[in-house]
Amino acid sequence: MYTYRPIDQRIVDERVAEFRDQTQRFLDGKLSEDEFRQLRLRNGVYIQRHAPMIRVAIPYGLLSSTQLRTLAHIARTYDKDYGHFTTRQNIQYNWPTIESIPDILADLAKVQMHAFQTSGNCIRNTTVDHFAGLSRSEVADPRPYAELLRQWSTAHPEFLYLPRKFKVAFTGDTDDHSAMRFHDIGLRLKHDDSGNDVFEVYVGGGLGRTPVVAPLVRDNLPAEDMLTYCEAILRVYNLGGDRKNKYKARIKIQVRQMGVEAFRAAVDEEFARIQKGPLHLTQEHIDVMKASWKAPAFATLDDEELVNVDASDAELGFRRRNLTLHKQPGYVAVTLNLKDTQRAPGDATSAEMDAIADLADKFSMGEVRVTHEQNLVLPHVEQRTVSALFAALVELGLAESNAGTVEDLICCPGLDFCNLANTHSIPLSKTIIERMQSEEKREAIGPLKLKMSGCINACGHHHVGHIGILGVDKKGVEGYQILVGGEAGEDASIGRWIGPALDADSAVDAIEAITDHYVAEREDGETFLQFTKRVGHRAFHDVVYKKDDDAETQGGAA
Amino acid sequence: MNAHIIDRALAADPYTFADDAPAELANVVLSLDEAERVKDQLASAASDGHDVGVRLQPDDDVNRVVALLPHIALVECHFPTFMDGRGYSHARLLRDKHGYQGALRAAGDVGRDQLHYLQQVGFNWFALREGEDADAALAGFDTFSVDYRDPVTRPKA
Repeated sequence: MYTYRPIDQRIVDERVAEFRDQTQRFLDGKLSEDEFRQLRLRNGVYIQRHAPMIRVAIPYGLLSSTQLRTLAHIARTYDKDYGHFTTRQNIQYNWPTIESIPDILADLAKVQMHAFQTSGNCIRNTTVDHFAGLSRSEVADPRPYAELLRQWSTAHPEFLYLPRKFKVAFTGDTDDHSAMRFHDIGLRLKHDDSGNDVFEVYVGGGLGRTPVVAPLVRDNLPAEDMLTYCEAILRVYNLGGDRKNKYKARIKIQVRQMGVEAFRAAVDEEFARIQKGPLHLTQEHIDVMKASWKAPAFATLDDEELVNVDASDAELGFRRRNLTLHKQPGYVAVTLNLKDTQRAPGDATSAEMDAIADLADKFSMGEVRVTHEQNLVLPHVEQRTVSALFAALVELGLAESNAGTVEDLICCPGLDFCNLANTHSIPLSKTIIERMQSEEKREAIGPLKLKMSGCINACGHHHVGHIGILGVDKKGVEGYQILVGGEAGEDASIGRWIGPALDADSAVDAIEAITDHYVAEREDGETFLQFTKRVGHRAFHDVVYKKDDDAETQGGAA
Repeated sequence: MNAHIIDRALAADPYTFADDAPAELANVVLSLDEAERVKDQLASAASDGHDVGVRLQPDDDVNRVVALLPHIALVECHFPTFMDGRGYSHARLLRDKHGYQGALRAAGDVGRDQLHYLQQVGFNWFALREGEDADAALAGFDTFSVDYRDPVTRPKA
């Protein structure tokens, strides 16, 4: 893991002091509501439906057990004893008071954490493939570069008041787990023919009202130019992005309106000017940063049989679905699902966070990962200890073996917390989990990503779910539109609507009908996405709406 | 009255803004359009030792002011709202790309909580918005003691 240098600590401490002063001036009536709003947003503080909410950054999705215990402490001390892990490697607390937020930030700073720029129209928390540094299909570990980018973007004076928010994601994997092509900038680290670190740079992806798969704007960007190239992109965007209409203000619209060629030319012109300027990275910068990301001290082990072992059915299900092979022989990454009928997806209590921190110390070299699918991962588990870990997870009620299944859905906070939502995402997610929760269904359906948003802003990434659900307002009644065929990683694609909005009960029926149809009609080894491409989204319309259409025909309405 | 801070000290503003260029150009700030219209006068005012400033709005193309730089003593970037960040990039381009070393003023919706960042991109003069406490604002320059964009902050052996 990266450990703060004195200079990193100083910057975080100075930020806490800045915000403490701003909060005090606001409470004293010396800072207007409007201005304080912009300042608090840049420290992750929203005013939600019920109370302030603070969103804490988990840079590159990486936590030490000590940091996780601090997150538990914050939940216990300042909130209602739980936190909510989001789709962007953040944790949100929904119930703190404004007065307590500077203290929360100070507690975070003690363990090298912060809430810098986790909201507002600025460069947001840098996210990274949650299997970075351990995936067997990874070419190179992008996290040293992500930290260099995090530092560059932190309190960057020129880019604190952009036309709109700006999100950057990294992967170093041929099998992207970061949804890189749905970010404002997506960076894929790879090696060129000579073995040098280079990047594919994708610009202008995003979800929201206008989902776009980011086009490749630059290939084989030398690593030494990473910051200067990003600076050039941001300058072109800051000056040229739409500031009149917030729905056209993301860089994806600028890229689309200029055209990729013209956008690339504008960036290249600025890049050529600043390429050898102060942001140019020397090999020393890169080497020293890489050295501070040393791999943990792994034992020399061999891979073991993981699935065909003598264990309970529950453990076998867990082994089949919740383990990911580690680059280091003899190790696995273990996914702990924060998805069950007892919680909102992504929620964890203080006690659970403390317990997971203990498990991280015992089984995973003190490290935890946070995924954009709202789960936690113990990244460095010895394969020979999986049974012991599973037993410990059963004790904690965290042994749900549904990783990667329909039940492992992601969803936004919805109308229970959010001012913008049309629908209650959380109760629907619980109903879906209840309906789909069986070993039989998990095995029959296999991996399938369900993503659900409570409104068009798409915080639950519904466009890129294999099945997506969008909450809409149907003349004052909560409705749910269903999409199929989206994908966030490799083969990035945007789902298509299968028909008009349904009520909540019918939406749950529809999920079951869609998965039943897939199971019944798929060819051997065909994934849901392959199946969807083959049969087309219209086939799902017929399955889901068939009864209605028949009824309408009989009634003469067709 | 708007308070002015120049190079971190309270100061008086010698300029007035004029929609139409007066016959004698001295201590006056003009819009970019107006300054371009009287470009020849700018040159003679400069040779007479008179100071003229040009106000850049966020929508203005910063390249247009470049031709005027030899004849003017002040560039003002106007912030209709502090949330419009284009003036920050204008300042950076004027300083770094066009080598402008003269007075660079941030005006409009400019408050204490922007001063540190405005200073970092090259502004040295701040026309604070109405009602802003200028003495208190002087504390707003030292938010961070280091800047991550500076290569000295990068990891070294």
